[in-house]
Amino acid sequence: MLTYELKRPVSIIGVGCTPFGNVLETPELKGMTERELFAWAAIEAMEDAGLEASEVDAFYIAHCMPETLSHQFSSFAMVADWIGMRNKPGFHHETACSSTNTGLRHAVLDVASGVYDVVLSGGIETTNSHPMEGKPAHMREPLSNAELWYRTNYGADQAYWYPGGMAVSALCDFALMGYAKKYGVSLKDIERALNAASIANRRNAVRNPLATITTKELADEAREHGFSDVNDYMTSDFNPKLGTIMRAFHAATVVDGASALIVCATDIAKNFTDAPIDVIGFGSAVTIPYHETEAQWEVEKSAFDQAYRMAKINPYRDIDYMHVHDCMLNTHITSTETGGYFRPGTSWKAILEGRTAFDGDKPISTTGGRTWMGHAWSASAGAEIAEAVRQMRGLCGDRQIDPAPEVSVIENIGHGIHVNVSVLRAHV
Amino acid sequence: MVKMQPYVKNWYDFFEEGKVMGLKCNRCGSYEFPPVATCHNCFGTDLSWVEMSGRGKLVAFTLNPYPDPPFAEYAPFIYGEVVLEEGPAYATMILGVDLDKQEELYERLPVDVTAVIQQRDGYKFIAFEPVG
Ligand SMILES: [Zn+2]
Repeated sequence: MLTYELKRPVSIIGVGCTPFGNVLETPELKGMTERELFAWAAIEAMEDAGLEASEVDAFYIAHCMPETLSHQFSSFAMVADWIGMRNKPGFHHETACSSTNTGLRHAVLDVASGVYDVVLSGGIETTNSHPMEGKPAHMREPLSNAELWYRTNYGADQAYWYPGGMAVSALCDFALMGYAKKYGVSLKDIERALNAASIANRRNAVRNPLATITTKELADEAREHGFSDVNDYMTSDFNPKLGTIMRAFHAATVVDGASALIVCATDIAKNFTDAPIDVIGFGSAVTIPYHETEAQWEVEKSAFDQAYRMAKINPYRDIDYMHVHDCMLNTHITSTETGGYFRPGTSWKAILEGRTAFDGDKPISTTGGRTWMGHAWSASAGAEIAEAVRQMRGLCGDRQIDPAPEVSVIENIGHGIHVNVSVLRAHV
Repeated sequence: MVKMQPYVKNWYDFFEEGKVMGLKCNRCGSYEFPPVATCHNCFGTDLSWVEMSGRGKLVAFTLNPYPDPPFAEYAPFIYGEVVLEEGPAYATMILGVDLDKQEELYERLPVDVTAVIQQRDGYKFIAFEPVG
């Protein structure tokens, strides 16, 4: 029988995350391999949890495209020595762009089963470059965006989905067309809402020290290009169309980075930290997107429903902060409604009214999102969980949600596709 | 003994004969298009090949301006979501659409479409085009 209950409650006691940027260019990251990045995030998570590697029973590493981007697999061995986990259980896994959200689930289940007390779960991806053939790992050369996406689309079913000429923008535009028709919203208003979501994400990224790829708000950037109205800038050739509706600033910017978190049994969490964050629910679901014909996807609804059932929360009443998977910004409109953060047909207006900003009443994706903190494939979900944990602890500086959220929901969608939802609650 | 067959190969081979084929569940009558070994509705595994009508409705679409290298020769093209008369949905290339009239196409959704089998390098695949 499905109980949707953990046999033993589990809490997050530490999080870590590198700056997100480019190991060939970003000063803080320059010259680093996957090992230093993963160790950076993992050691930071251990320090945050107030423990050392000797106290960690097992670890997971999410690494979505190791063969393409790192010219190796067996990622567990790649990092074990670096984080003090030699001769301990270590596992590589991936669910594409939702990997480190799924990694939280794996770690939680290991502890909830009673097998382990403390588990580390992290992720790494270096999307902007790949190793030179046959050379040591620090010798890398750039990988073009076109080549990266070509290889990333190995995540699409190669029997039926890819051979039809698969367009990534379909994931955004199909859902938005369904939404606009269903609720009688003009495509012009949909575009305005997407622009507003991108502006809000940028505003968060500028305030997030880990988001290194951008330093100025979109309105300022528009003025530099001679536009007094940011919306004119965002419908100009500076922001080219990548689909019928979707434009470049509505889509992910690729980055390199790593993230990590540490979970332990809730009954011993206070031995490590004063501020544990309980993992009270999770849900996962998979499909091929051509089965989805509506704005609200069944696969997302399934994952959200599982998570809320386990967490025993009412999404319309209980959620203080939501991250949705914004590698395409339609999710700020569609996924937030599927996940019960907004009533059906209302999200686009809430975005235009500024309610989803970090200082609005319905904040979304305060990292800066996959658009402007950037998308580091398997590593990003962990960055988004780390952000939620830091928001709940009140550590987010000038992008802090006030009051600090008590209940947070993090939703991620991996290419292919895989949806993973986690529900966190500040421990009381 | 499981009665497995090379479903993917057979589906593409039927295109060579000019046939758009799917599977019909012998237990509940649901269709699987494209073909898979298990019925999505009743989870039965006894399915038989049937010829599909090739008719459906385009419910959503997008412009693919920068496709991956294998599809570069078609760029830019329209890629759409089609709900078939028999029930299943599939996404593929939509031909016969004026790229300058995407807004009109959007206003007309859902649009009746019909299957058109297209030759590629070494195989054929299924696309759709608006009727009339
Ligand atoms: Zn059936």
